[in-house]
Amino acid sequence: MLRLAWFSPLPPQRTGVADYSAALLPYLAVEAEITLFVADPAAVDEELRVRFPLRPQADFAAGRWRYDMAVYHMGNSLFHQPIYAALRRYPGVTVLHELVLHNLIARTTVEAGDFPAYAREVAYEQGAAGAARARQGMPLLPFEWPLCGRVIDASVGLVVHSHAAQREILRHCPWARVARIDHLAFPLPPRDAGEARARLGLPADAFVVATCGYLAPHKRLDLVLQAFARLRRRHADALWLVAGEPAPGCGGLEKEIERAGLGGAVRQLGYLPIDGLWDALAAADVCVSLRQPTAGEASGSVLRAMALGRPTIVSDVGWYAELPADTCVRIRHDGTEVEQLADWLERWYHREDERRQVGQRARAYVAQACAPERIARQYVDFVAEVLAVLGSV
Amino acid sequence: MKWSDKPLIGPLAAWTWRTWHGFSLRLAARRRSSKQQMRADLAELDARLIDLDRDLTALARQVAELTYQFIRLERRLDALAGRDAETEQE
Repeated sequence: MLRLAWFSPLPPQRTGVADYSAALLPYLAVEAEITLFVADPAAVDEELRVRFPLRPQADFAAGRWRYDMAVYHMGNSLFHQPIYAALRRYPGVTVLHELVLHNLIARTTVEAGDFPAYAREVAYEQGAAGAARARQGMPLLPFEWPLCGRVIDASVGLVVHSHAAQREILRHCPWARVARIDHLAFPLPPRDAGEARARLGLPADAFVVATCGYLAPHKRLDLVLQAFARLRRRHADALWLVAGEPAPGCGGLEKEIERAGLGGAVRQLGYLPIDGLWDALAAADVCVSLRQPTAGEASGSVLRAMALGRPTIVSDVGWYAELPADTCVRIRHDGTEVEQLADWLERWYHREDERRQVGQRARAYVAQACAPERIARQYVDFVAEVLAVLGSV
Repeated sequence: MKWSDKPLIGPLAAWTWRTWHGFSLRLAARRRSSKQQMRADLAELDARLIDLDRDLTALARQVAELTYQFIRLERRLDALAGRDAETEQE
């Protein structure tokens, strides 16, 4: 049995990667011996502390000879700062949950007053010209400068959730060992739409459009708001439910809502713990989750909505574009997004049967493709494959 | 009579001005070339640092790859040794 050192944010940390790891670990434990490495073991949820050996990350240096492979989960939030440091020193298989790491690197360098360190990170990926541009205070372009090059170069193997991310990595580094493993489906709690609405204080007969998850500018709430405003002009029972923590510097939605005269038609719930998130998704008639541009990520919220059988509207980019066409609706980002989105909301307002059919196909797809047992097996197979390749070199 | 029209003072002032002006021009040119040189040195160091940083990352990956190979082989040898011991006992 493989012995894996697992580096990941874990609950109660507020990040989708923590939820992902917590959902995957019980299934992976059937296939491998797992030790969790975290900055502060005492801060991890008791359920995981009881079930898995937990070590401070600082112990890995001395104990690394006991593990067949270290697996690092990388994302763009500050939760990944210690993981980034560890994988640079002791590389292993890295799960890149998104390709854009610019925010993490900028926050841990520039915001800490260490601009030269930021310039070096930019230089690593963009060369001297990029570093000069950064030094001159030119606008920083997180989506053009993802700053994931070092992680790609360092990793013994890489896991991503989409073909698009896989292609992007191979474009940067053609010899990278990179596997595409589907995002996993989270354990589905029993949810009744009526009860969920009652718990959230929503009208039982409203037509609820929901947008859930971390609220960052590239999730294009501006477009959703414009499309929803058109729907609301025709249907007074339409309601937009927005659930999620706003990204720093992304708190201007209230003003936009007021300006559109939609104060009474939008409910903002802020950050919700996982039970509340399931309620928000279950309460929805339609879920909308746009990305433009994409950071090469998959969306846990979209998969939760699909698992609940909710018809979902996404952007026709990256991972979202790879979802089967009959399990969701994809919006092209060609300047007509608002028209497309408004048309689909209007259509689905009237066609409950169609919503139900799309939702059923979505549920079946997630149950099959994203089953955690299957995902856990793919992880173990990939690590074994990487080890076999290393052994044959 | 203006002071600059007095014998000696005018030529002396002119000479002083010419000397100072020439000196300051040479100094500025030297500073300019020194600044250009420093910029060139910085660019060269930057390029070397980038190369070394990338080499170091590749080296860390190679060390990790060898480490994982080593661990794997050692485990397989341990397993074989255990199997041999079992066979001997039987």
